[in-house]
Amino acid sequence: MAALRIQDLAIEYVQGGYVVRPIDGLDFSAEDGELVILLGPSGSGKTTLLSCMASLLRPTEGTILVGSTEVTRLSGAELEQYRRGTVGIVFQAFNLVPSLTARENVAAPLRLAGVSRADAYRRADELLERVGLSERAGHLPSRMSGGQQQRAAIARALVHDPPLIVADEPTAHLDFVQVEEVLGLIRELAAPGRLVVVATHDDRFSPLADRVIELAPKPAGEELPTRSAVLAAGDVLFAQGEPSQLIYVVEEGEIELFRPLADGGEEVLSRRGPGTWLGEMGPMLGLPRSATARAVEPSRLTGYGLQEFRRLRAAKS
Amino acid sequence: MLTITLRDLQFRRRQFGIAVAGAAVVFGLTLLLTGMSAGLNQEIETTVHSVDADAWIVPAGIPGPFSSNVALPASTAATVAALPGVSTAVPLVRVGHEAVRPDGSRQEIGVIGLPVGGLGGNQSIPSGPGLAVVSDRLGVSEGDAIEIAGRRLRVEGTLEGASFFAGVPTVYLTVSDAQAIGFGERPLANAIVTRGTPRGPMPAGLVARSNSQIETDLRTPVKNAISTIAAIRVLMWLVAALIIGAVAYLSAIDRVRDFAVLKAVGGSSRTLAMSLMLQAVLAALLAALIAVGLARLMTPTVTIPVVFQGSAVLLLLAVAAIVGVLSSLVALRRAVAVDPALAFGG
Repeated sequence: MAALRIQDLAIEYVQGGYVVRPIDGLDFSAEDGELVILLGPSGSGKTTLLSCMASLLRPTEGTILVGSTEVTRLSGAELEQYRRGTVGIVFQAFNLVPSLTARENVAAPLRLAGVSRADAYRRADELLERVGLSERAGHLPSRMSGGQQQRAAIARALVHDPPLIVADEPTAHLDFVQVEEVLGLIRELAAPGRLVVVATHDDRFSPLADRVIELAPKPAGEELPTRSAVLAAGDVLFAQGEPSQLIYVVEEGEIELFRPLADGGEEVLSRRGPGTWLGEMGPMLGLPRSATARAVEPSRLTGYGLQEFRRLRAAKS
Repeated sequence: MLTITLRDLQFRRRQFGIAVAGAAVVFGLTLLLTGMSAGLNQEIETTVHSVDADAWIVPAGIPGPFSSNVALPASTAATVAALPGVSTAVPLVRVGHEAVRPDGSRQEIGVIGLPVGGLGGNQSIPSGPGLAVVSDRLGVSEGDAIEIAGRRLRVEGTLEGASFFAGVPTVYLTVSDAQAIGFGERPLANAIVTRGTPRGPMPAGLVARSNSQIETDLRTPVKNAISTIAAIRVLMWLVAALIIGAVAYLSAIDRVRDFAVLKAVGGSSRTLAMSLMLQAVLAALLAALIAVGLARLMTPTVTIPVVFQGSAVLLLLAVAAIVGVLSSLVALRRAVAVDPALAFGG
């Protein structure tokens, strides 16, 4: 019986010298038997979060509890045991080993765990029958359709009968016919004794879910009112990763935009003086702030909502 | 695990085949070089053994009758025979010459002349003048007539592998025929060979050499060849290791995603590393087996004597396995470092 508890989770990694923190202060829990959908656009940290649940990646802060196991604390043999027995992973790219037949692919985790060939193949055949692939057992992945490959991959994820299944965009490479067969299968898997977490950017799947976790909360329907900001030198207007809501026009002073670097330094991207504006991309695209804005000298700015800003620009031109 | 390893080899059999073929050729050449090295040593032993002496008496100051052409009177044999410890002493003539085969082709030869019967019951010496016992490497058969320095000689018998100076075939003649060819019929000799080892002081101007000193004398002209062969052999091992190593490395790169997936489903780094190592060792061993056949095919292309020993084949297999392990080490680091999180993503 596994319930999932995620508390105060933050994940930070370094990419190309920049510090990226796609997940910050995430809290949610899900109960055994549920189908949970993690919904968010590309870059919102879905895959990263799944990797942490599968203990392939260690979060920077916070805890993940699966049943009574604190995943974030596992190491060595316990970690291997967890990866083998507690979590089954379904990948976006199926990731069947191309040189192995469907049966051998499904049996591989068992064989790696030291189960005899006969037992492993018996279990593999049982699971392939369950996902409706019995007559494909002897085929190489290259001779199977995407949907069939993904079903074989799901059978592989089930081979240890794990209480937690994580699936990363399991339908990204599939056409609509195959999407239905794979999603139907995933829906069936979420039953007492098994919790299934699916990451997707496609909110059409939400109705299937018992619980939907939005990783990038949509801005409030109503636009924020125009506000003015007065900053002393060194004051931060907004920080990287914060939700983007307003576009700021500099009235007085100077603002610099920078990104924190992994080595503790900063990379200044640009400086904005009176009459220019900043922070327009985030609100337009619904993305968090991609850089931090800080006053170089005492400054005064006006923040506009997206609609208001557009009206203002249209009026000026 | 074995299934995964073998299936992968089967899946990438072309890549694997190229590696095995490349390594097999290199291993075959290595085996051939080893055979050449053994052949050069063996012809020296065969030559010394064919004379079947206990000691070789030569003019003082020369290492032996093969690396030097200094002659001494054949009558010295009588003096030597009188030395304590010596029961028989006979003159030995050693000259380099050219033989004309029945078909008119010419061949450089080494002539060894000994009196009929030699030091007693010596099979390599013809039974009388006008006859010759020749190396099978000369390419003539019993009953054929060969010509040396205008003298016709009938082949009385052949001797397997008799040659010196890196495959120059030996022709055994009676001492009088050899003197006629080498010294214009003057009664000279290059050494006096004895049954029994002389004791006490040697007559002035003479020294006694043992069989092993004569082997050294025979080895002198081919010493550089032997050491060059040894050096090239080491280079060959390196090339074979590079070929197998490169393919093992490429295989590791090809399999990064597979490895990531297998790790994500609970495979340990050690298991995966073993899989790679097993592939490299299998490739190396298979190449070594093919090399045994290849080396035999390549043998006729060299004129240096080649001797294949079972021990050389066993050594090759052992070295091949080691080469496989070593050359997979680079790839292993790569495989062990694979991050299972790589399996995510499109």
